[in-house]
Amino acid sequence: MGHDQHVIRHLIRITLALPLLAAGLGAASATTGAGPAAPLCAHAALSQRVGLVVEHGDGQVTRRCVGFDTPSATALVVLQASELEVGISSYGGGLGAAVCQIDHEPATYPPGCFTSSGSYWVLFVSRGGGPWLDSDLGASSITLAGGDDLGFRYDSQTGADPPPPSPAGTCPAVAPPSRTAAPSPAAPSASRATSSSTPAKGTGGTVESPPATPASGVLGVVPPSATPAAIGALTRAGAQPGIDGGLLLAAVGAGALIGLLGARSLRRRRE
Amino acid sequence: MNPRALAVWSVAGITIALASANPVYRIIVLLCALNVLVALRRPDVSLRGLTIALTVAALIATVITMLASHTGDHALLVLPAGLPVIGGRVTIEAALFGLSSGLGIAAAVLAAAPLSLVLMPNSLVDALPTALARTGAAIGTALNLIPGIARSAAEIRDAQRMRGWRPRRVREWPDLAVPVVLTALESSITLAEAMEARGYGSGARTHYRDALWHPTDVVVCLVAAAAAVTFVALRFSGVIGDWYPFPDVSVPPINIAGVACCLALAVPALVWRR
Repeated sequence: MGHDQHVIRHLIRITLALPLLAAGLGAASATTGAGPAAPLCAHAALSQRVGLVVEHGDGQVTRRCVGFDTPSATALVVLQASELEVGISSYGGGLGAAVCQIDHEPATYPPGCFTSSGSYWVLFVSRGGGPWLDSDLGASSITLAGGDDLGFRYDSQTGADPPPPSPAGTCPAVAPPSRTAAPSPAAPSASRATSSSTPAKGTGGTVESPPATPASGVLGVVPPSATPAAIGALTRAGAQPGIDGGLLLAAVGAGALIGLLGARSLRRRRE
Repeated sequence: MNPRALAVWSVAGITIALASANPVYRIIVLLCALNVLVALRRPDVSLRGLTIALTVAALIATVITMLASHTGDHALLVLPAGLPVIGGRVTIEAALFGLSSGLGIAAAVLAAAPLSLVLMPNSLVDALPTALARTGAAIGTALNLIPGIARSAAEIRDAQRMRGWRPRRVREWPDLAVPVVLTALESSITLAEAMEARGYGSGARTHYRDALWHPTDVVVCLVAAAAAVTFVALRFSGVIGDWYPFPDVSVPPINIAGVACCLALAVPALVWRR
């Protein structure tokens, strides 16, 4: 009997602790969207420039002019140097890296990168001001030189793959545009809002790049045509302030089920 | 309890467990199914074997996903790239995704388990539609042979060991497999003759007593069906989404209506009594 009472006390504690723990998690998850701003950077000496055009699923277009100081760079290096948030996986078989996520779109993705029916990032390349051509290779297997452009469009797996908007003007031919503040990789909605409203000013800091990567970085950011609604739609589901009602109900329900399970098990044992 | 109502509940549980890759919904379905099993299982049934089997299955799913998927920001360790398939980064995200997959397997199996651990086999066969009665009886009978084959294998192995049989290589296993297969065939023929002697296949299956629908059965049936339909509708409308921990771990998005659908599966444990 003494052992049973001990077990019951433990079960009651667990049942009470779970909702409290979940409430704490809910509150914590509400604040995870916030983070420190990324340091700014300067890449004044970079000689080669590649325009990057990213068209999101909602039609919003982000343009970056990425510079590097070697004769060429892979599309993956350019994308990672753009300071946009990037998630990659591997196609395997020598195709190179698959781009699964750009600027937190989609919010999550399966381990194989692609879902069976959802949208995906289609990669386009424009050589020396030519038309967009979609690529048969992964981003790490495509080599870009100065004057080329790199495009990504978040498109469904069915139907044709129309290219992103023209890269014209993303990287001015004569001189790079005035540099703007680098957006925070941790806060995509903030990065777009900043780039569309912050006036141009000097940049400085570092860019996280793969090992053995030539120096590279953002030379300029063209303000995207973002609307407040589009920015809001890209906010993470868990980033709303306050405690998530679903999480609270799930925790209370799970706690009750565990308590019920424990009580029934004890009753069975006594019988 | 009405077997058909329990079958509807099982189908609803499996549907919800597999409709979304969100571990929160799967955990709730798993807990509901455990409650139903503990409250309603037959007195002679133990859950120990099932629990061990599901734990092993979940662990295998977790380990395979960890080793085969190299996506994720947080690496636990890096295996040499020369190792086929498993070479590369072993990440926390892949481990969590594997755990979520294991939870899905466990929840779905536990949702189906009451059909065999709560109901008597004859009740389950009686619950089948007339068109499926003979097929169901044949499948049920075949499944009932499995424990018998296992017992037979253990007995033959012990007997062979007493004769000095010590298997060291795979090609010595036929010494055990051949008698087991022959014994199983003999048991099957004996069972078939017994069934034929009792009139199997001579006409429509008759019942000792009809399974009645009590108000609680109707409640369970309606609640489970409504929960499954609502959950699937929410899933297809995009209100309930999948959860993937890639590239970085995040709190699974939880919809309050989805949680309510999962919790509704606990109704049998509350209204039915054994």
